Amino acid sequence: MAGQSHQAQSEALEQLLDAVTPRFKRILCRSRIPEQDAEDLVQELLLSYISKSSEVRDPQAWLTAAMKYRCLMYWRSRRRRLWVAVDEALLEAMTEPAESDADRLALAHDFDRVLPQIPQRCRSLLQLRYGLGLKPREVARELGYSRTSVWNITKRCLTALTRRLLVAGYDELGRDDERASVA
Amino acid sequence: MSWEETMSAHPSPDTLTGFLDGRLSRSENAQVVSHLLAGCSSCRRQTEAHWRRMEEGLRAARAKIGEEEEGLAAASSGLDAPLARALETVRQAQARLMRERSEAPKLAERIAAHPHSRQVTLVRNSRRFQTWGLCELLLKRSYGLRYDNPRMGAELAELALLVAEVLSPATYEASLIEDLKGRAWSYLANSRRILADFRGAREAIAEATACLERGTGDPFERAGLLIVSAALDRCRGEFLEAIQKLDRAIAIYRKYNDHGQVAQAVLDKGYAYMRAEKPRVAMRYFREVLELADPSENPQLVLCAEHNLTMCLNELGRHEEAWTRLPRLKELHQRSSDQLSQLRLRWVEAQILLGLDRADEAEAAFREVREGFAEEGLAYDVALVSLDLATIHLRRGETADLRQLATEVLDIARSRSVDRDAMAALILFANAAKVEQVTIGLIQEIVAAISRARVEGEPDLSPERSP
Repeated sequence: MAGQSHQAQSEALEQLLDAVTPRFKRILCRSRIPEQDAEDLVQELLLSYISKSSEVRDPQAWLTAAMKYRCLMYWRSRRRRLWVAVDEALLEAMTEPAESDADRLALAHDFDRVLPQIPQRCRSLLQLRYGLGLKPREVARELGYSRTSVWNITKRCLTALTRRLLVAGYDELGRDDERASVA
Repeated sequence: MSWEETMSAHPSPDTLTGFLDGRLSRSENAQVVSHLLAGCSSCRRQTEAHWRRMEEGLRAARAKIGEEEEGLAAASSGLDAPLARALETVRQAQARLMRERSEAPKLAERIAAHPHSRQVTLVRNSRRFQTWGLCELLLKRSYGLRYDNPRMGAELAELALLVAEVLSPATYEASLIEDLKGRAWSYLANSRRILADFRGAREAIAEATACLERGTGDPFERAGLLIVSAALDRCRGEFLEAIQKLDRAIAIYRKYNDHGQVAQAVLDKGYAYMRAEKPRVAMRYFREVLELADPSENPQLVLCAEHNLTMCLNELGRHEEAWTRLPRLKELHQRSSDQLSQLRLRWVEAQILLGLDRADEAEAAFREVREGFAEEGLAYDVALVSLDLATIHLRRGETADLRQLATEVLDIARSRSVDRDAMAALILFANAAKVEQVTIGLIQEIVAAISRARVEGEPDLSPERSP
């Protein structure tokens, strides 16, 4: 775009927007991006593009790849927020001094009930993390993981735990039914 | 709180939505997590829809858009208004950017007329200089000077960084400003690397990384930083780390269908293998560059790939093959007006002549190149060419010439304050020459020592390299 007149640049941008807008809509739709967030995503992406347009050789391919990436990151960051919230809550409740032992015990009990529903390879890791309050490098040492890989594995396990809380919770013989049957 | 109390204390729908959207405080999150952990199925029914939507979104974002997807556009009418608003904002931003880019050269000229301290004051206090367009131009100039005048390149990158730091988030998106700062830091890192300030380069890379983490997350920016970081790793002899970073950058550029950047990164990868003394592997990548790169669009890239490929062939003893590539290489070098480039061409030619046992021609060429490097003050390259000459004298049994050569090289090295290891190697060479104990093996060891020291010593001015 360098060297073109302002009008030529504006026209080039309009042509590009005409070409990519339908594609953006498809990507946003398929990626289930909420409409209120779609505007921000598209705006940020296009602003980023115009700031480096002279370096971009294939604008349509670039914008398509970038939009798909943004949609991916949109959901990844939301997923990350959720498991970080779960992680922080569990770390605070189970490894730090609590106001009430009863609360801590109840939480530990609930956690122990969830654990069998999580993939086997995650159980030890999460038990060490929350049950014993071990830091990632200590967990790595205990389980024989490298320090670089243990955090990736921890993230996957936290995702699995969060999924269990938000989607599967307990099975049909979970606590709700137990209470009802005892009563 | 008892289990009954936990289960009965359902979070409100707003609170639950807040939790899913990441809007709650830590203590509010903790209450929701505790409630969900207790196994509340009714709340779980609400959160499940959100999680499923997220999983579908992630799957879709990873998948390719197929032909059958074309009909999806009809389902997206709800996006018309948001997209229209976004496009309008972008049009206004583009108009502003075009204005700023037109004004930037004059602003750059005005600022250049002042000493550095005054420049800093101007940028901090005068809004006229606080524009994206000016920052961009300073970065472009910094990049353009990175080899011809790396010190000026570093100063321009620092000034660009200063401009980026005072850009108003009210005018430009805050996340984009962070990306721009990240880019400025990465340009500064590159200039520092070229000036052999490796610690300063590492610090700048750390700053760039932090900025990009606060930025838009644009992989394109990350790829640029990976390239700079890989170049630093290469200079420090950390070839495996360099290659891993280059692979990541290449993957990003491929996704963006940017063949030019892919070719550049592949060239860097080949060069890293060359530096790691793996010419056979390096050649694979140089050939790939020649397939990817367009000579009319990027002649320098093609020149570098061809040059390095020829060097590798010669190193592997394939002298005839290297010789057949020379005319094409000369043609490419002729388009470059860079004097150093011509010297390096002649040096490759001399090495091939030596490989072909045309010693007299090789000697004449080596002397010519050595003189040229000495005029440019490139002590390491003078030493390396001298060691090539030493091979010829050794083969002919010209011990007196060998002694004189060794003394001359040592004098040049002393006058340029080369690295301690390189100096030690040259002293060893001189001592061996005095007692007529020089061997081909010794010359090869000293070449390796000088080459390693050269990587960390002199500014890296060879045209074989990038960025």
